[in-house]
Amino acid sequence: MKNEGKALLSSGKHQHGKRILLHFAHRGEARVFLEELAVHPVSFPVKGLYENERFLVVISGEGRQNTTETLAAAISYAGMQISEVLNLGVAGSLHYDLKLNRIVSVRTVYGAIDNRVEFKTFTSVDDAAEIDCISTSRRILEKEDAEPLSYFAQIVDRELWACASVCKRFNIPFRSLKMISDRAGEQALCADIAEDALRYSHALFNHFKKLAHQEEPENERIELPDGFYATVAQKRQLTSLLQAVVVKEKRSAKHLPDFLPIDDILKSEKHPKKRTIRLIHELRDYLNPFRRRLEESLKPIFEPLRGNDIRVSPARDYETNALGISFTVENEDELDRKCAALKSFDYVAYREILSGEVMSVNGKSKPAKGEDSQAN
Amino acid sequence: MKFKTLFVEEAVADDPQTLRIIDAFPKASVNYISKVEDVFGRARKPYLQKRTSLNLFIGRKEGNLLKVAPDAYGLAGEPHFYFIHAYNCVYECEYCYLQGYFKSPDLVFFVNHDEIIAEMEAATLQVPDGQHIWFHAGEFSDCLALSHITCEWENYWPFFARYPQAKLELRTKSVNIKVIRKLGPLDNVIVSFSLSPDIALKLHDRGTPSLSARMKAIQQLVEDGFQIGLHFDPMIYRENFEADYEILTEDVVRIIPAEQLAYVSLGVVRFSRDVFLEFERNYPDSELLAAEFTRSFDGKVRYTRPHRMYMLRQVEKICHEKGIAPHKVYLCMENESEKQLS
Ligand code: SF4
Repeated sequence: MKNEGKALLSSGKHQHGKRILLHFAHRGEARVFLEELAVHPVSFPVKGLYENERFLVVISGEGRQNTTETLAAAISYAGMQISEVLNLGVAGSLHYDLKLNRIVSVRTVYGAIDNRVEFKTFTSVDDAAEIDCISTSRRILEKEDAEPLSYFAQIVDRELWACASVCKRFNIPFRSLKMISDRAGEQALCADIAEDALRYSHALFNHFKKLAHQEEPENERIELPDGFYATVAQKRQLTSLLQAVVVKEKRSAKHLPDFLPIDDILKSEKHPKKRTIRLIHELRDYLNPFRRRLEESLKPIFEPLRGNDIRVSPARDYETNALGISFTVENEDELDRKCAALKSFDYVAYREILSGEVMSVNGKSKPAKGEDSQAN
Repeated sequence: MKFKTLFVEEAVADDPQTLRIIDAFPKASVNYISKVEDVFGRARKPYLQKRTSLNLFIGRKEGNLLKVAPDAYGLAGEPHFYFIHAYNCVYECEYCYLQGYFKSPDLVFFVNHDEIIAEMEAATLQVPDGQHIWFHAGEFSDCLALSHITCEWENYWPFFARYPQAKLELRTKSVNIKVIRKLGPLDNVIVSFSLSPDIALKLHDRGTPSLSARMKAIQQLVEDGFQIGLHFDPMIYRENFEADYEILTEDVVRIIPAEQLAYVSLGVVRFSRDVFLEFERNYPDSELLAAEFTRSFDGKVRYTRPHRMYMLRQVEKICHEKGIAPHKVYLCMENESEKQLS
């Protein structure tokens, strides 16, 4: 059998204190889980809720409304401390090449109310899954009803769409393991399926157990080295910059410290806050070398202003030619000096740089006004 | 190319092109439906499922068959229209705007080319003497990638042979030129290739033919006498990208004689907000995500303005230096509403 349901429970391990919620429509399918996981019933207004340290088990009853109400209540009961929802149960096959009794992991779930297919779909976190499911608002008893559903998915159930929709609302990842119990539209008696429920429950539990023991990947975390101090905003900024370095360099976050100029910064900057600012700067330059080029090109143009304590603030990301200029004066001399500096400021050169016209391949900008003047 | 299932509109079930396409996929199951929209795009299908479970729809295009193209589509001053003969694409360029567009990556082929051509004729007859009118294909798909199966271009050739004032642009990244080579060159049919430096193409144009394969295809078409258009679009920044574009431009100038090079368009990578979100979701490891983008004046996600303008100017300069006539080089500039395809 294919390894359906890759890396199950991976999110459970590294989200401390969070539990995995197992969702069933029918008690029969849940039976082996209730016994083997030794979960105990929870006294809660909504019936069908069980728990232990690692798991919550919820039995919702059949269909969309039961699922929505019960699952939402269970998640609220857990105070949102759910790392993942795993929907387990049986499904009918819509494609003849799917063998009965096979357990499949669901990729995308579609929804249909009566004959109308819902636009919203939900995709599980199992990126190895290849089977799609469509959840219908009523049982599919006729072949004619099954056929149009087969355009969208290979299997059909009654609950998964609602389950996934609740998960989306609570921002909790979901996955689903389905055992193929019958061929949709072939009038399988519910009684037959119910009789087989214990067999399904055993099979699903065995599958679940195997997957639960699989090796779980370590979550990579990006840590700030010792000797640096970052505010919350800086930490956020650093995380996204370092993430971009990981992507650009195609290396693991673990190897980032060897790559970053940490020692240089530690040696040349004494203050932990300044070190962080410098690190952010270096990372930005590394990720966007053009920015440094641009800043170097603008430096001589801004120099007459900055050299005279006049602040310049370009538009955000230089999206427009607008340039904020501000200064204070305390006496007439200062005013004269600043006015002279303003006069010498080459706004045209500034605008041209922003239009990309004056920067050459080697990164040198056009000299600022006056520098290359040959006028008599 | 494998399709799991073909969906065929009942109204075009007997169309010769439909039958030819069905024949090309003997293993796929065929379902007959009343309208493409009954299934296609009815429910959101994740984009990357194009890798494993792609369906093919065959139908009739309804509504406006010709649409006025945005200015950035071509050299200014002449009327430009695009027409839609297909939806979606077999390739997977990371920046492609289709990933946010149809809510399904399944392919749709329209087979009512006679109706499209009738509209083209009506539009062409309104153009004053001495003026050109342009028709662009490839707005929502690659024009040639599956042309050996669809064989639609044979419908269009007689029209363009009859109306030299009407120009056709076939935009592609594919090297599937067998069918159009058989049809032969027409002065008013321009086959346009999107090209990027080799490294950018390897990193971002997933599943597309290599640069050398595209160059070879261009060379063959040139030898046959075809007019060639080039799109250096989207340009993606790398340190020393100027050197990469010098090599690329040198190569194209060597292969394409000036009289067969119709135009070169330049554009810098850009995304609508929705496409950018899809791109982030679909390609979280893309090197492109390490770049610094900003939400620009029109809400699109781009490099900062000095950055993108610098790239455009530099590559424009390279084109001129390598001998491409300035009037043949146009920039997909600001204020554009253009997209990046093929
Ligand atoms: S950019 Fe063009 S070639 Fe690439 S995937 Fe999109 S349509 Fe296809």
